[in-house]
Amino acid sequence: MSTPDSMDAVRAVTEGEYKYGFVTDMDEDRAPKGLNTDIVRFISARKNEPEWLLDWRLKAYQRWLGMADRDPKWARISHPPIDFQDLYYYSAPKSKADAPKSLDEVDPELLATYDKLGIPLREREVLAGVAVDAVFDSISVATTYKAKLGELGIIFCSMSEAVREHPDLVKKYLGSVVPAADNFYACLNSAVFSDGSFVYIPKGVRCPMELSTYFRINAAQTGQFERTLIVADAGSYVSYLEGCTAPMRDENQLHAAVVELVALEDAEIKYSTVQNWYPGDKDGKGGIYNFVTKRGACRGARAKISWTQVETGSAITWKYPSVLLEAEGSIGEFYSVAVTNNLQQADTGTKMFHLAPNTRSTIISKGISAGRSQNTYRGLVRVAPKAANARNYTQCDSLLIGDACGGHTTPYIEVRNRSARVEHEATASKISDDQLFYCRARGLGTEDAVSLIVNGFCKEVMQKLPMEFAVEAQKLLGVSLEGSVG
Amino acid sequence: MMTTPATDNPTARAHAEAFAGLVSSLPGDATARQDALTRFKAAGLPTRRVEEWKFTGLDALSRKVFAPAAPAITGSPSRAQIEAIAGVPGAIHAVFINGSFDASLSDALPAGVALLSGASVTPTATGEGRGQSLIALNAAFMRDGVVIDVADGARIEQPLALVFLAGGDGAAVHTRNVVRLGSGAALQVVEIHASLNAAGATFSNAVTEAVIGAGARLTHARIAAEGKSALHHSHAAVSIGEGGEYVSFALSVGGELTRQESDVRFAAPGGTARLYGAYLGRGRQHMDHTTRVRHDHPGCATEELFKGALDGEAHGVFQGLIHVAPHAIKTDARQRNVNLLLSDRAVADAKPELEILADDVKCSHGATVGDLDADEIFYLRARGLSPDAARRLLLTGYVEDLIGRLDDAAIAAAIKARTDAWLGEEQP
Repeated sequence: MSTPDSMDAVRAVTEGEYKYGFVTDMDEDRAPKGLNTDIVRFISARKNEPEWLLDWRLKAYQRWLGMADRDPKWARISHPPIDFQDLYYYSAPKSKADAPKSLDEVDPELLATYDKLGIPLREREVLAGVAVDAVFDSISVATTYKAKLGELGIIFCSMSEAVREHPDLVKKYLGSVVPAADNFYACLNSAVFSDGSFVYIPKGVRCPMELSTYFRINAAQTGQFERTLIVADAGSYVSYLEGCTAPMRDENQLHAAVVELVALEDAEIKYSTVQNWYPGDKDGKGGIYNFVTKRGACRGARAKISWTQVETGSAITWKYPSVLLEAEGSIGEFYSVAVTNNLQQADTGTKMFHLAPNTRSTIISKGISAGRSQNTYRGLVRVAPKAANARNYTQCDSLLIGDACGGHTTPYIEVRNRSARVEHEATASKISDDQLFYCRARGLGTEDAVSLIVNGFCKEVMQKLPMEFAVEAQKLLGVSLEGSVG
Repeated sequence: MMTTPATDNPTARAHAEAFAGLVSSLPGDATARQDALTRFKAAGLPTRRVEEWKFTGLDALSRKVFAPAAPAITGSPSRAQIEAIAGVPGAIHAVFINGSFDASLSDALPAGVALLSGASVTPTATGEGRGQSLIALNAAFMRDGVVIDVADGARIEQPLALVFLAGGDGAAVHTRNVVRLGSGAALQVVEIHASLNAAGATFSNAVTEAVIGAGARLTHARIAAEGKSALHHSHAAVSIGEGGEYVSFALSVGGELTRQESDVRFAAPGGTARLYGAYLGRGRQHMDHTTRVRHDHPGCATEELFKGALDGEAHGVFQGLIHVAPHAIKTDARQRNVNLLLSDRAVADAKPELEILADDVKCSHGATVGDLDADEIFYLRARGLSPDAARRLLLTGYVEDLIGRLDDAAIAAAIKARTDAWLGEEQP
């Protein structure tokens, strides 16, 4: 499926994003701390946005101010209250003068992890934030691939560029799946979103490569607010990869992204995420708060949206990639592995809204808890009165490693049509002593044995990952669970 | 925000206003009742914004005023009617009319069974958690019920049928039972909640507390079979001792709105809880079964099976939480909820929930929603059954599979009589 060439190409495109995306043109800028209409205007002005987008942001900001509940309290997570006036909402990347000069100055533990994950050397430099001017000699490669995508009419650029170059598309679809005031964090994002990716696949086009971005959190104390929008026109196909298997150097706490997907008639979007942001230390100090709203809409008949996620990082994950099955025969899928260790908290799952006849959805969720962590699957399957013959199958399995962690399952099933068939199954168990003993007896170390068993437990999800991610993600599971078994 | 302030709800207000005049006539400690009323007022009535009430609204308590009922009303049924309503063969009957014991309709109570009104039970805050203010309301206004003490090792063979009849438009009836089983004791109790006068709207709010001793076994059935415009809330707060067993069957066939809650806690290792339930709804009935089982000790087992059959515009709700505390290892908990939607406008909501804080456990839950299996109907039709007969046969099997799990024949018979009646009324 993917050759080393195509992997390089993906990285090249990615790298291109970074070089010409939001990072460079924001250099040396930092808005003062706090959030008010001036900051919203400042962000919009820095990005030379048109009036309509500024209005959109300002409206979102007003709605956010009016959200009586403030931040949502229903998830099984706990954290000290966030002071939204104590964050930077716009900032340039951290000055290169502060960054390590070479890998020799990077935390050896981080390097050891890269080693285990098999990350290429030069990529490690980028991930560790080494101040290297041209890490990849990729400008020409990136341009080549951009040209190739361009020939097919595919648009793949930063959101800022899309606002400038393709305002009609952005205007038509931005906020059409996740409205500006959808929820507390999505609303905040709508007001202050920094940048993100924009993808448009024209009618009948099958995107020839897997599109990918590595999101990076740049400067200390900067909330990150990406906004991604992917539109697959009728009969098209795209596979999009987000995230990175390697831990990244950053000191930010809050990350509130919004991802919107739109699939028209017979189109298919496959969205894969590997999330491995800093989870905090063994005592739960630090770590990213990952509060993300991801939602796709199947707007045309037989459209398909598939979410695959491997969540191992972040101190707190609050994320429910969802699918609105609005058109006849459309399909939603959710495949998830969520691993928590030490004091991590994850409350993640999906929502499948069956709104049209003959819609189908599949949910496979694997939660692995270790250490003193809490891992919750929270999901909703709703079958509307019009969704005749809707079909859902849900399987949620929890694996508990150690007696101080928690694995929870909270599904909501709401059925309003008699011809629907909805099935939910959930189990919770531990790694059996027999399995461990079998592996140990054949010479595997305990950690390798756990890694093997956990990978087996997650196999159904891992198989759904694109090649680029699958190999690294497998190693990642082992690394994330290090130290969890005596 | 989360609840309706008690003073904003006409039913809550009617209760608060009636309290001073009533309290002297109610048994037990008036101060404890006052405290309970204060707790209720502070909490207010639960609304759908309270997670535990997400699928069930108590708007009916706002639309109409329900005030604490007069203790006695006219038009009592005959003894034969009582036996027919109860439907428990060979049972000892205790009959309560609008929350007050009626000796003329009841059997002589055996040793160990006392009336709450004579036993001066002090209302406790048992089971009052988030969204449980109706239990506090019950503590403030409960008039009667039974207090059963079964001595160590005593095994009562005869089932006890507690018949609660409510009547009178706008009557609110609060009853409470306390069941205490000594070590190795055994008892079967059936609560039957029915209407005296099907035309009036009543609100019954029944709480049963049960403490099951080591190695003891309690079978507890609740049958909610009130008239079409009745509101029914019942709550069972159960504690299971070492190696004890609690077998519960909650049946909902009547009422406009019915919510039956079970709150089961293992107080020692090695206990077993078997919770069964059926909700058969049609018309615009709303039926909610909410269970919470807390495994606080190692080596306990839970088996839960709840089945719904929903016709017309009926709305069925199942919420089941299984909580496994840290160190409650060797927990074996299985929960299943099955829903049949028999009409285009029937609705099913399910929220099976696992909350697990120990690793060496076996827990699972499953929930399904769908119509009767088309293949099974085809099979029967191919053998000459009419569509209606095929449906009825499948439904009968669906319900009997559940009733068959009860070991106690008399209780199974009482439940089967009710489900058969429901199936007999079934309109194709």
